[in-house]
Amino acid sequence: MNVRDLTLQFMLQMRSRPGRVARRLHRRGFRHRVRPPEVGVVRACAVQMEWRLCETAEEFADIAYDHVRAAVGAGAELVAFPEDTASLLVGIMPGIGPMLRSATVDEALRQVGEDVQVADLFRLLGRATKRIYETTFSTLARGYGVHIAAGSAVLPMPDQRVLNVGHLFTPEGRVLRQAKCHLMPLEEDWGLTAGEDLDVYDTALGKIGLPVCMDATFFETFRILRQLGAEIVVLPMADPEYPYSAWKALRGVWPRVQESQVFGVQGALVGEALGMRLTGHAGIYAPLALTERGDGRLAISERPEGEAMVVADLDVAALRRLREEQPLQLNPALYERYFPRVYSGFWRGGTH
Amino acid sequence: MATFRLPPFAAPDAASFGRALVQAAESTAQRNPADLYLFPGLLALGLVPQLDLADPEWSALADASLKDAYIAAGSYAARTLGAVVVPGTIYLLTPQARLQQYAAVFDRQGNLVGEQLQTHRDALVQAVSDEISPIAVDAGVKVGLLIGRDAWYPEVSRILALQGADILLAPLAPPAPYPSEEALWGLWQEVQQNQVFGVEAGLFGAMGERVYGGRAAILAPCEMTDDDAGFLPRPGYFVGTGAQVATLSVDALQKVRRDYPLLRHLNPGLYRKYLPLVYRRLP
Repeated sequence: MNVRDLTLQFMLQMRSRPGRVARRLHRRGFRHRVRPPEVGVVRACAVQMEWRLCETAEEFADIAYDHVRAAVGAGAELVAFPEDTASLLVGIMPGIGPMLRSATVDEALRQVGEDVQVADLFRLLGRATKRIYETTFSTLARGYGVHIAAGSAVLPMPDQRVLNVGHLFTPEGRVLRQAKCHLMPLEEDWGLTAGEDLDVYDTALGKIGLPVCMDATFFETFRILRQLGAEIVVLPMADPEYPYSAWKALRGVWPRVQESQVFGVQGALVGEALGMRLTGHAGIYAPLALTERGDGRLAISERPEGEAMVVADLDVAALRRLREEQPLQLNPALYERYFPRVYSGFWRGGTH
Repeated sequence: MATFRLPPFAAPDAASFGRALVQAAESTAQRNPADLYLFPGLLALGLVPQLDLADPEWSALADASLKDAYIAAGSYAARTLGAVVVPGTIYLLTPQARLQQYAAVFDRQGNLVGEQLQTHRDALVQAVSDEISPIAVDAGVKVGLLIGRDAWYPEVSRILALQGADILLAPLAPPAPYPSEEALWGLWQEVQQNQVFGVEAGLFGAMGERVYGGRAAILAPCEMTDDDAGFLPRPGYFVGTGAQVATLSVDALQKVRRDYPLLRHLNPGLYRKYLPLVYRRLP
């Protein structure tokens, strides 16, 4: 590591000291405690958040704090943030702000070097953003006594792969993680790697899965999670679809919730971000039979742009009854006969 | 491509059922002759008036004669129309007296070129198949049949699409009420997540004590329709009586797949690790 790199790392470490975040959050206080829990019912909040560049850890902590405080004020026990929440922290990189204001992230990095990938930026920033991100949300989860699905953070792994990782912070201090398993073409271009595992976490609120955005385009993700026991699937989203298309948006979490008989809680990142225009609704979804209008929506934001927050009660007990009354009639013999063959043709880059 | 939303045919024998199929098709053909006609599920049950599915004697009658009548009528209709025909579905009975649901595809000469049984159980159909494959029809185009609830199990469409199906055909007879939301998470989203065409035919009206609420639609990936909705004949699900007609361009479909090769982003390593284990768990 040369002197310039050492200096940069030192600056990043100083900017990401956990004490800065913790002090800021404790100074603001945790006055709204969650409402007494109702057995079998989880009040969930999905956050629709405008992207902006944070140049300091405190700025990021303030944004997260404001959303969580509002959610807790509405009685939420589970707060779901959008995908790429931690990307706001790209701004802690010295000098990157002006570059990103005039160019996409790829263009900005080309000014640094032809071979520099976006993944390299996250390798450089990873340790610092992880510290700020984890300190912020773990402090808020403990302080408010709520579960926070903090969207996702693009992070370097010890083996140098860069993954987009969903996070859930519990009031007891657990940090649960899930790497995104289906990447967008853009993320592949950036040099990210897809995850190879899916987990379901047993929490005080129920069994929760944490896939990320594009994972919901493929039924396999939700089928695996459902069969692993998931009742609530939190899906952070950042969709570079502009102008917004309600029909294209219908190809994600909504049908997956119906197929798999789970609840879906989707936070959405919106606005101008790293050269993209992001749109999408924060929404909370349920099987058709568990929604008042029979449309599979418990709550959805009014507009696919701008900040918003939606809240709904997930009746986990009712979901369990529905599953008993209308069990999935899967046919494992059919799948075992065909899946090994049909998927193998698509191993690494097959097409129709 | 033509698909239908029709009430049950009151056809007492194979010949009259075949003529009814041709008549329905010709009312469309006068305006716009089709290469493929998809009829609603259970349309042929009109061959068995006073239907009572709970009556084992009826089931025996169906097994003995209904399939023969269905095939004769389908072959006649395809031959007469000079088109590929799927004459809906029928119930069959296994030797253990359990119901199956069955459909067949007939080529322009009236030859039976493919058959398919339902692969996922429902309230009535308790005997299911563990085999499914696309069926080659005109000009190398492959179709896949989704029978009954199969349209709501994404595994079926995935298997068919990855085996090369370009068009998924769903001859349905869903019980009423059958709201659009129910239809959307069936064939519509299978079309989207597999980048194929989808054609839904629907039975509606009463048959005995049962009331059906089918819809008809010809579906394509959102990218192939100007309004992103994915319905080729607009504005959406057809709930009148009669036919929906559209031209399906496999070349245009291939362009969508080239522009955005969605299935390239499948993660077979993940599926290989988990699916064999999780499917053996009770849901």
